[in-house]
Amino acid sequence: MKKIIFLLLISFMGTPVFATITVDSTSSTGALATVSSAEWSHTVGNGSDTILVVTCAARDISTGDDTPLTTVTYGDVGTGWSQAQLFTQDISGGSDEITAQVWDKVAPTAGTANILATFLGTVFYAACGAVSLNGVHQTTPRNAADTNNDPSTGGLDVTTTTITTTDGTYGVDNFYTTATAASITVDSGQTQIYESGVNGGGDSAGSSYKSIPTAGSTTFTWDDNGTGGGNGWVAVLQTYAPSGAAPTVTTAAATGVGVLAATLNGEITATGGANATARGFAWGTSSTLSSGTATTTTSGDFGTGTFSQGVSGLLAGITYYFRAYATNTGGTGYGTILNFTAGTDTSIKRVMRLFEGFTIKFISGRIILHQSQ
Amino acid sequence: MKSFLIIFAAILAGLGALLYAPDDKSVENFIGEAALPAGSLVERKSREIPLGAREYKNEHYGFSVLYPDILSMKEIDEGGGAATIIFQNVEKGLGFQIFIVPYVEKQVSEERFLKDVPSGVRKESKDFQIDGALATGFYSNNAFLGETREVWFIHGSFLYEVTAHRSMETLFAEIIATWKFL
Repeated sequence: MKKIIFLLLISFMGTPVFATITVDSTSSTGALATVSSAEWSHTVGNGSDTILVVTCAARDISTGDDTPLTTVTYGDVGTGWSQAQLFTQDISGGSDEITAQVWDKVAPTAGTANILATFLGTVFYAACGAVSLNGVHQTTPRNAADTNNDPSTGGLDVTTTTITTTDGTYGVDNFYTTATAASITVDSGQTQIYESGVNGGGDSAGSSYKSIPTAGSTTFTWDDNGTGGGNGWVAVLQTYAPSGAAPTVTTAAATGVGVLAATLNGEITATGGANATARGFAWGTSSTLSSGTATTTTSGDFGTGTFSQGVSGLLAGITYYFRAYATNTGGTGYGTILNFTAGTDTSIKRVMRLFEGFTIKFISGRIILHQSQ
Repeated sequence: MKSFLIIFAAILAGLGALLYAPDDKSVENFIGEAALPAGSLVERKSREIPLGAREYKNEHYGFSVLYPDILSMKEIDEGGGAATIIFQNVEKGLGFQIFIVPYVEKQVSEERFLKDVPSGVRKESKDFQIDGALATGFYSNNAFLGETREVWFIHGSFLYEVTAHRSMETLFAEIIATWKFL
């Protein structure tokens, strides 16, 4: 029965109903050359829980290393902007620098205005773009991230991989490659914001976004289609959590651990935007809870706070693993896996129950029993 | 009763002989989990219930055993995960009991032994295997029952103590030989 409940739960967990991030609009500059800033128009719609994400990939053929952005403004508003990801790589023996980067700002003002991205100095080649997303968590929008590069051979596929912790995230990547640019194409599943053949088409700078419905490992790829060449590439990836994110859950040590039973403890430390509708524990003897796992589930309306659940039917001396979880409309959040070892009751001793209530006599080697008075 | 003994003994005589055959171990190993030499293993047999026998099966403690159908069975919860299962016929003065207690050690400690056998008597200990588990058979003394035949073994996270009066040693051996872990 426990197995059936667990399978049902897993089935339920596999198709979470989460608050969906949607794309509001995109914009880009096209290829830029010998600039110290990039400026282009972008329209932010009237959607809710919006974030404006700016990406700028650049190459500086000098010793100045001027490719990182220093400021970003939207409609002359510079407050609220911050750098989410930055990766710079020296190439060509250090005389060049290539950079990929992501900046973002939550709750940009709706309307059409110019984005102004200012580099540290003058860069030789660059391309920038932006995407505004609706339905993004406004307090802790950033989820998982990754940076990657190939500093030597270049010309290989551009890849970034990260592990998101929340269902329904959205990823935005940015890259600069010195591979023969004309053949660079975005991987299926990603939507290209821009891909610009900078440096007269000798390099490529690009950016894309992708929906990541289920928490876990995700990879962004740009295919060089075997064109090869170049001096390397850099790439960054930033994912964003939905406004109705899964609850944040922690697992606390088990208490009252006995021979047969124990109490499992957990806490919802943040609702993620919506109260949990179910919470409980997964527990079993597998250290990864990957097999033979039972679950406890309590349905209701749960905000932040601690919760506990007794479990029984334990085997003495066996180590059990468990973790707390909670589910809301944003998905399911899990605590870390902890363990406890069921105890033993050394006070128990054997009682001779055989022929209890009788008196025993031995006659000719046979047992003769008489009811005790 | 006679017919039962004949049929039961015929099926299990071989196993019983193996069970109590002297082994060549120079040092007796009181209920450990080390394996005996392969030659001493009792071969697995598919479960057949002979005429005059019943099967007792316990999913929680994970075993089954055959016993004469003239014995009545009773389970007693001793608390703390322990249990006693008695099989007895008071008219005929036949019976044995199984005491099972959660146990995490790999060998029975002297403290545990004395807790369950206050007399401390353990004579003619001999190791053998019960369905792959190392067991020790020995003679002891109980204040109520008198001379006893004991078979103790550890399996999973439980200590099993199976006890009968010494006078029914032969039948007891045949019953023990039918023990299977689930």
